[in-house]
Amino acid sequence: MAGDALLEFDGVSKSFPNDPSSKTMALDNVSFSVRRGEFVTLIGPSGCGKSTLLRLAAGLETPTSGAVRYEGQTLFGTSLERGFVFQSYSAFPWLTVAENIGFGITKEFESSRQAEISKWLGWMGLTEFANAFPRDLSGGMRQRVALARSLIVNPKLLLMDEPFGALDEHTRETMQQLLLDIVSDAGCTILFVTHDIREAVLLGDRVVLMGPRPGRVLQEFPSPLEKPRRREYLRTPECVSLYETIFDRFPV
Amino acid sequence: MKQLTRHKNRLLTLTAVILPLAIWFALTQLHVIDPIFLPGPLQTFTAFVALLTPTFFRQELLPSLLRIGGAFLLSVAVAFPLGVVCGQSLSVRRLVQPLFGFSRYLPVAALVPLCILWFGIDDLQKISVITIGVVFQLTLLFAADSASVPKELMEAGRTFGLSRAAIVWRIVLPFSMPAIWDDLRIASGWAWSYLVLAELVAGNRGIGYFIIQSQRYLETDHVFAGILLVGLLGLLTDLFFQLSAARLFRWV
Repeated sequence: MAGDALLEFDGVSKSFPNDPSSKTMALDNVSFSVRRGEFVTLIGPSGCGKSTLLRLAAGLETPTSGAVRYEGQTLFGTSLERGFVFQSYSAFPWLTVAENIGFGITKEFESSRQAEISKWLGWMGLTEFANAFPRDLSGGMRQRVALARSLIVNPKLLLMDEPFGALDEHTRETMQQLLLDIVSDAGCTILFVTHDIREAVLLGDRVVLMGPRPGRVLQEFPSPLEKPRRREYLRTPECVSLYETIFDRFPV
Repeated sequence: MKQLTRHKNRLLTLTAVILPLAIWFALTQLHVIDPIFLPGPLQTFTAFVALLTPTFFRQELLPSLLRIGGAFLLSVAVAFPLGVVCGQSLSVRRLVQPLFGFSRYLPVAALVPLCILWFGIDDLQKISVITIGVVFQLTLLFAADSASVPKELMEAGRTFGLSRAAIVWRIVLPFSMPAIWDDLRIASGWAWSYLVLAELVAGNRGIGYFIIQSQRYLETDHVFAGILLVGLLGLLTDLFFQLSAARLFRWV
């Protein structure tokens, strides 16, 4: 394992229910790691356990066997250091946009709360919706709220579970660019699950391809693209060829 | 269902109010039924207005209000913490559900003699009858409310490193509060029925006592006025919960 790994999966298997004799094996002996500052996209067909892998990294689930290590220590439970953006709209409906974004701010940062919230409202283009409730927002705006809510607490690792999957194409592209811009500023480490090959290639420094039943890593592809990423790169020959390679290897 | 025009809507509502009143009026005015058994609308209204005196308020209404208020607070004080925890903890649910699931079906009227035996015929008996009628149902309703929080909202809370107690406080309670408030509204209706039941069978003072005393002296118009008063108070309680909900839970 690389010495600068922030997150390591070491021979991780996961069954449901959480029992080695169980028939439904979601993950089988998965090993790979995510380095500090790296943006890793995790791609595979549905049912390949990519979301389960993400939930293990968050501490929402425990592995049936093997170990998930964070900063070299076996991970136990959830932590403010590891943010999570869900696929479904997880903005809290009873809080305004501003209150949602400030949800995770702890007491020690109370003094800068308002300033931080204003800053993120601005970055996310939500300033005029600060006092609106989530029910009044579009899907893309709700996902920006969830993203800001996770990033405002400066997580070392951000786990994203098909966060743009439910959005229309145009909104998705806007969100991808927004994410790239913010990440290049924040230097946050990201593990991003998607089933969209273009999204995986555009965003990832490395694309990890998984296969289904039981879920396992098939192959890893380092990105040939330079940073900062731009959507136009998707048309470059390197990118097209990476897309083709992953497409050919993609299990059906 | 087919939508009605505004005009038709009003006409039907008006008919629903006026038609029974007209039948009532006709039955009494034409002496089909003796006013000793069925006083007319005007007679009832006059008797109702005659109730609105400081003496009646102090001697009958105030004791009833204190009883129902006390019993309602007592029921909520038990049902709220127990119900919320029940909805969140499987072990507590296993402990509470058998007893409460059974007790909710106990016929409250059949327990009145026991309450008289145990608590006498004063306020304590009234409060116990109302509480027995309300507390078990309310606990189970609250449990269902607190169990209905979407999984992704709870997990979003967990990814901020919140403890279980913090999740209940910051996510479960605010999310389920509108449903809890509505269950309070429904339970307040039961409480009015059980109050009258408890006051009818034992004691002195109170609206129920006033109704049964009037019956003994064949003052049927007073009986009607008493019933009308309880109905109106129930309606007011219902309206209070409905209108306050619209202000308290603007996010719904």
